Amino acid sequence: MSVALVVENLEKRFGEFPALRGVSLHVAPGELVALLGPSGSGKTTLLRAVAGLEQTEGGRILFGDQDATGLSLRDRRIGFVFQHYALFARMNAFENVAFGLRARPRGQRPPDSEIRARVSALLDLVQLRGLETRFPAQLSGGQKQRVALARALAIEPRVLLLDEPFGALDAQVRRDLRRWLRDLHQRTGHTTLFVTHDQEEAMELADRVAILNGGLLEQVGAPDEIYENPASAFVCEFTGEANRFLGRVRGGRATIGDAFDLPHMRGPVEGDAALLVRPADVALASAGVPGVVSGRRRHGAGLRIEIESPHARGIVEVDARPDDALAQAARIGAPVFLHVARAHAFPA
Amino acid sequence: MRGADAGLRERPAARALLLVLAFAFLALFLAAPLAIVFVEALRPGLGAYLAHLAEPDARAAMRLTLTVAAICVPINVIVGLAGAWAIARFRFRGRNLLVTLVDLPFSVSPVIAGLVYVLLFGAQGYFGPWLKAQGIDVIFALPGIVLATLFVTFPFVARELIPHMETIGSSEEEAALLLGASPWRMFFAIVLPNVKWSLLYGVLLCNARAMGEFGAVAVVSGRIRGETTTMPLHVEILYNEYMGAASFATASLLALLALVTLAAKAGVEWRFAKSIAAQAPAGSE
Amino acid sequence: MSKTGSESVRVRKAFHVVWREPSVLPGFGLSFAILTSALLALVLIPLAALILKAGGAGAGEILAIATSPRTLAALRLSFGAAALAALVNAVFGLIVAWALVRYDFPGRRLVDAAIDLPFALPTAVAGIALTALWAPNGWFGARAAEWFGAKIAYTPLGVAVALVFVGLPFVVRSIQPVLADGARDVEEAAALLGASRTRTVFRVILPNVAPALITGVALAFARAVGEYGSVIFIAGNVPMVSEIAPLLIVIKLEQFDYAGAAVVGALMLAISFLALLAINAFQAASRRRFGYV
Repeated sequence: MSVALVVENLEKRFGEFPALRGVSLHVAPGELVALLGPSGSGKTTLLRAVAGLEQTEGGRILFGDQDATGLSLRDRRIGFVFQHYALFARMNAFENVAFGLRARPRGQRPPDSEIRARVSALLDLVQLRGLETRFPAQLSGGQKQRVALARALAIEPRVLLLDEPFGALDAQVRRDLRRWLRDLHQRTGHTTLFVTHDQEEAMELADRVAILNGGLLEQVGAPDEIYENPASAFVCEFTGEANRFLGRVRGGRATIGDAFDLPHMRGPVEGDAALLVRPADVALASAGVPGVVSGRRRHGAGLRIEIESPHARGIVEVDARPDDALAQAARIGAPVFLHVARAHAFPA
Repeated sequence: MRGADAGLRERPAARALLLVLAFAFLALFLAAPLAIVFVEALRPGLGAYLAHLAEPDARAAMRLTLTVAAICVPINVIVGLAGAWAIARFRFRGRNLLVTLVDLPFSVSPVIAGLVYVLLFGAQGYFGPWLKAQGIDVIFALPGIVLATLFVTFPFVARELIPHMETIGSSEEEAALLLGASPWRMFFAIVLPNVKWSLLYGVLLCNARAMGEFGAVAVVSGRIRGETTTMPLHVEILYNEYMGAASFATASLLALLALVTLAAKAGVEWRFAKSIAAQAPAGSE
Repeated sequence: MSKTGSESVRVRKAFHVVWREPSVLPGFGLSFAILTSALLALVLIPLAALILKAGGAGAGEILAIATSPRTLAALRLSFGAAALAALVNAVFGLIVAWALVRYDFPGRRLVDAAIDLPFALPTAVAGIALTALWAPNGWFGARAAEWFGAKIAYTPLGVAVALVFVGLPFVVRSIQPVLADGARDVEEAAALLGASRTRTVFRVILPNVAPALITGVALAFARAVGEYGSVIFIAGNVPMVSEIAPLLIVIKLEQFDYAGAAVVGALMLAISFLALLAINAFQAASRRRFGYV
């Protein structure tokens, strides 16, 4: 497999604070990769380091087989979309997009007619035809975002980097733009890296998701793989809802309390373990892990029942259909039993 | 009758009293001094007023004042832009000290600003004898006036630019570099247009001070008529010779300069507020 | 990469860590060089010459000049008049700022712009204008003599009048922003809690404004101490009575007493530097305690 971007063992500190602690990542040509993590996890630092905007203390970055160390910002040919877009406030949309082409050294600069044609084509691509003469202050958030994208694409970047591309937009615009960006990526096929703290956004949009925590890469993989086989308790809890049971793993079997037995346990854990269970993988049952109902509320089309159990850390949340007989019986204070269909085991 | 907002406003009587006091104070200390300049200047009539301004010494003083401003303002712009860039965009040891030192001339008496150059370049100064041997005049000549003016105007441009550059942030500049702009292109296409209003603001204040400086220039000028007297010095000389009307005539030109500066400043502030709104990081819309 | 290459990168990085945080922005070397060389050439070396000259006079002579009756009288006048002017500005600056921020009246924007007049008007012009107004035959001077039997121009009171003019914008401009956006919701809270307006003003608003007011007054005071142009016309310049410290420097220079001028200059420099330090320390303390100046 050829690679478009290689990050090797990258290290970066801000004063005493380690922002990146040896991060390595390979990105294939045309791939759309999400950098997902909570704030302070190092995801934006990683993105800015790839762009050359942060100088790192250790490790290296390669574009294809070219070492980027010591490469000037202009020679990197990176398309970067800033979180707040960083549009040039004194230039209109057209001039913003044309900037990268006009900034080329005289010998490599395309003639003015070609610049016009290319900028128009890009503005068409991002569906902003007719807004060429608007200044950034006269554009909506979504429109600014698309000007920023067209501007980044104008220099025919080797890699496209987006910092929280939907962070500053409201929910409806976010959803539309997300779908639109995925379509655009399919059409243009740029190798793309984007930063987000929203797991839903990462899982929905990216070919692969790289999860960062405390400056370390916890897991890289396709969304399904990460959701189905999280590499750590952090990944499991960060990528979706999970209930945490306390149990033991011995020889591929997990037990919760004395009674409940869960076969076909995967993972390297032996002995005491934290067993993380998605809400879809736990259900009310006539026997199993004991608990007491502490709350119930509407959750979309169904019911969500909250249960306290001596074998769980925190509240266990169980989804049920409103017409389910066990769910109807599960009034607050009632004793119930839980059946766990599947769990991810991690060291306790 | 007490309205619902009684707790949020002063009673009408208190309000009226405050307004009267404020206006009386401002009339006494701002309006009257400004007004009397024009009253005294025009007291002998418009013909005499124009004749005072047409005198050779008055015209020489105007030329010198314009020359000094024409030299000092561009130097201040270059140093101010460089200083603001270094201070607002980089973090280095001694940065806070540098910020304090840039502001230092504001807290030094203008007389001292003149004195230091006399001590350096005057006849008995550290470099005086050497300069005399080379045939270079600094004190009692244009170079001394320019140096003293540069001292007192040193902070003007930089101190307007630094906070503005810090508010704007550097992401537009980073974007320009990533798009392949050379450093100078980034400077002229991005930085300069972005800070133009605060730069203009600084230039206005710098120019007003350069043309109006009195204490520092008085010490180094020697008051050679027609040669080293700037307009403020010309005002002083005529006043001390009891040529009140002539003195106030030149003073009225300087007062006009102040009024133009204030008007331009208000205009810039208004545009500046608009451009700050345009430059603020885009929130959710 | 060759060995010497990576070596030099490491040395450069170590150098950066020591005294400058790395940045991708260009131009640090050039801009830093322009700033520091201009600062050295125009401000620091000349000020060093002043200290050097003053120090060269010898301890005995420095003490003699600093404690001579004429120097002490000049310093007393400069500081005393500056303090009186600062007090007047504290009271009326607050009233003016309040009127400008809180009340709407025709021409408010014009009046607001005019507050900066003392910054923009050349000091010599202000000096002769104030003298014309407050001289015994002037608009205000005649009234003062008639009503109060007081002489203003050519006395220490005249010095204070000029310094009120000079210091006014410092005080008003320091308070305005705090009055504008600082206390509105706090005032509403106080009113909802049942406080009378007077109580709200004195217990809630003024304490909020106090740090900014003190800063403005200190700035006005520092400026007033060194002020020259607007004062010398109205002061009368009688030795021991109405002669300000900066004028003493000019007089010594005219007598070619460079050392004497340098000593008085260094003395004033030290005093204004201490004032600056005090203002900075006060602002830092206020920011720590209240989160703003």
